[in-house]
Amino acid sequence: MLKKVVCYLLALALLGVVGCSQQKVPENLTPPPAEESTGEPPIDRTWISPGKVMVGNFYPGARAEWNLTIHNGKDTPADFAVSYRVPDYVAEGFEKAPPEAQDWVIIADPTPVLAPKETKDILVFLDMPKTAKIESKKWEFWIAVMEQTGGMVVTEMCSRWLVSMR
Amino acid sequence: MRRILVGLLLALALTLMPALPVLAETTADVTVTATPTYIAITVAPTSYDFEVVAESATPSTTTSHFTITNSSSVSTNNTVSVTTATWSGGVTWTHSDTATPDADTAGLKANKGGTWGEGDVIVQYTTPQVLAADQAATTNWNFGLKLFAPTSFSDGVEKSIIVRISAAAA
Repeated sequence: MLKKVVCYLLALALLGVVGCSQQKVPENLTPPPAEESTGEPPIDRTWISPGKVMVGNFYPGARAEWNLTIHNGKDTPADFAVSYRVPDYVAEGFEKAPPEAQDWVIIADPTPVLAPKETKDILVFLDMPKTAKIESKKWEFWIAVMEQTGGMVVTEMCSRWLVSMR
Repeated sequence: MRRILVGLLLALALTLMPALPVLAETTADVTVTATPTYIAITVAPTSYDFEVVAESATPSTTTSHFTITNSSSVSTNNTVSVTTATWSGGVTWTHSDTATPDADTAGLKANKGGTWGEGDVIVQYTTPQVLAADQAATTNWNFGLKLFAPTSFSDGVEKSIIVRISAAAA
């Protein structure tokens, strides 16, 4: 009788431990492999990174954050404007973010000034209120970086944020 | 016998107790991932002066006047737009999103290194238009601009508007 009880209890304990170890396996934490990456970014060019940020299992009340890296490739200081942007196009299966999403995005430093060849991380937060209601399960917005050159023709580089709700 | 049983039950409880918070955890935590890619474009020259234009004139640059130096590590889609709905300077011009000139109303078209009239893209304020789709990584490209001057002017003050080229991962 005692042996049976001991075996039963040990089996229970073993099952519990094995079960818990499976619960701890995180989902989707491995970044997908880079596509078309050609190594280190050029030091003498102005660039931003990453080109795409994927947010998964998002929900009202949740918060996500990622560093947007900006590099000034010029030999002179440069003023940049970092802003939320409605996307010009969206990924397949995604919709443009609702207008109120602009209020959920916080850019830690929206007007950074970079010294020559300086690289700077700008923290971008996506902070969705608990009370927010959103119809779309998959939506996209962009973070745009534009150098303030004063020219008639300007360039803008955009980082795409693709958000999947749980 | 009872002592052994109590001991085993205690051991079992101790084994499972640290696991309880884990069991209570959600497995649907927010995940944030990004690929180590970068977007890099610059333009040169950064301006063009159409100089004195006549009413209803349609002066243009060559279709390769502006060079986009593209050092991006991934293929990109590039759109063109103007950043304001009006041209500044004196009596402002309205920018036509259909490139249809009118009194104090001007328009712009862009062409990516081709022939004017073939594959021209209207430069809009409200909706950026794709000028270079799926542009290969680290591949430069060129474009030009054509002005559609107003059919009549209210003043002779110089006007200007900012044209924006936007690049994002394809």
